[in-house]
Amino acid sequence: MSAPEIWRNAKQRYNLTGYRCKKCGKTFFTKRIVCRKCKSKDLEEVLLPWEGAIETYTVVRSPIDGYETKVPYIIGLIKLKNGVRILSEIVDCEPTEIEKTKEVELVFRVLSKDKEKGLITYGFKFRPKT
Amino acid sequence: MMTKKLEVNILGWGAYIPIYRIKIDEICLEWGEDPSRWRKSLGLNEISVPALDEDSTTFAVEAARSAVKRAQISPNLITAIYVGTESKPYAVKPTATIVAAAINASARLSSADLEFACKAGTEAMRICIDHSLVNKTVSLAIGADSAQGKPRDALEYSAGAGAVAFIFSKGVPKHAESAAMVLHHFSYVTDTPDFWRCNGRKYPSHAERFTGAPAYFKHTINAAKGLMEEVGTRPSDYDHVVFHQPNGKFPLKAAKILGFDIKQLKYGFLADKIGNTYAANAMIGLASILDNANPGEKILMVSYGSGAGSDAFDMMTREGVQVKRELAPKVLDLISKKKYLTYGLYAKHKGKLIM
Repeated sequence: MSAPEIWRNAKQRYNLTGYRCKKCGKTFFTKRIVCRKCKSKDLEEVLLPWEGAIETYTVVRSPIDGYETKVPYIIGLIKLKNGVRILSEIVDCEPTEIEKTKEVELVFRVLSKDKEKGLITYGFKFRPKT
Repeated sequence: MMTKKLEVNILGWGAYIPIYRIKIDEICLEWGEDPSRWRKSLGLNEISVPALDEDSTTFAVEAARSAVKRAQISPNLITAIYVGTESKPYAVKPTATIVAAAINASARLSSADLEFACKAGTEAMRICIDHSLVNKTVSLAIGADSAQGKPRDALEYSAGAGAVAFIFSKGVPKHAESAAMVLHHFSYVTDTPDFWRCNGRKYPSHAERFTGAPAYFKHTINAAKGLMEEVGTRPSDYDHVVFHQPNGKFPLKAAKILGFDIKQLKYGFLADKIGNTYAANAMIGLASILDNANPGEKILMVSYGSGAGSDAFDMMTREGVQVKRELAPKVLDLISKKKYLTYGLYAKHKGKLIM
């Protein structure tokens, strides 16, 4: 990931910010210019809830680049407390434990590290609620 | 000589300890050593280990977020963030600015990372206390480390991982409450080559037995004595005492030399459960004391950093300590949530496997 890209997305990745339509109230994760529901362009940045529930998950054994040492790792579809769904890695949880895990909470972790220049991307992941 | 009281409030505190542990017995098994000999010589049972995606920066952010929860203030009020660590992920690029962004602090901020071996965290505390005292503003001090020890070296049996954060304020902002008050601090430093890591080296080196009498004990004892002389207190005046814990034996011996009772170490002594968390070490003990103390109790904390020096702090808990401790995870709860690693997984978690 390039330095400008890390810098541009830091707020969203560090603090889980989303966008809410001021007209219809629909909230989105990741930045949106136009509301997908009512097509309004009047959206505001909001902090999304840091807790949610796992709706479904997959255990990854064929990793993406940079995740080779983490195999097997878990990617979950999480429904946040306000209903917004996001994809996130689930950490501090073994594949044998994920089936019993429902409630999760946000944690701050290393997302990736540039192999050549060493630049680190930090951001949110989720772990079983403590 | 009685010095003027600082009277700087601790508004919030937060600790972070990763969930992974390795038992001393497991490390001994790898190297063919006698576990009972190592457990006895170090006074440790297990050490905390970072997850694969954790470093001292992620620890610092987690601790800072808990401290903000307990402080019950807007992060915008914070005007200084100092992070003490000897395991910065970057040689050049501050951790403090990442913490600031991750807690939504204002950009109008004084911030830096500090290095003084295991004393860097309390050095951050001293700077923040003095910053709050002079500027009448709120400041955040963090000690965070993911300590490294060369395979088979004595440090490998003791190097833990964790972080702790404290939020200071001279006054008490609206809707906030004071958990404790820092009354005095005192430092004692000399040039002592007991432990070091050269530029470009992955692991630190140490002077073995030289780390004891002329290093840890000399500085810890002189800092504690110096503070008590300046303040006019005796060991029996304190309800709680916490020393830097490079192992499970040194702090007990220091307490005995100074005339403290083992009961005064009850909440702050944690090394046997998580190892040496370096810049976070004594401060995590302080966090554990705040998790358990009653209002109006006196605390003495003495850190130690190789190179070498000690910072001593004279503090007293206040009414807010009881309510605030319920607002974020307590140290003993963090310690109790754990998963054990084999040596192979531990080596991977610590980045000891070069692929």
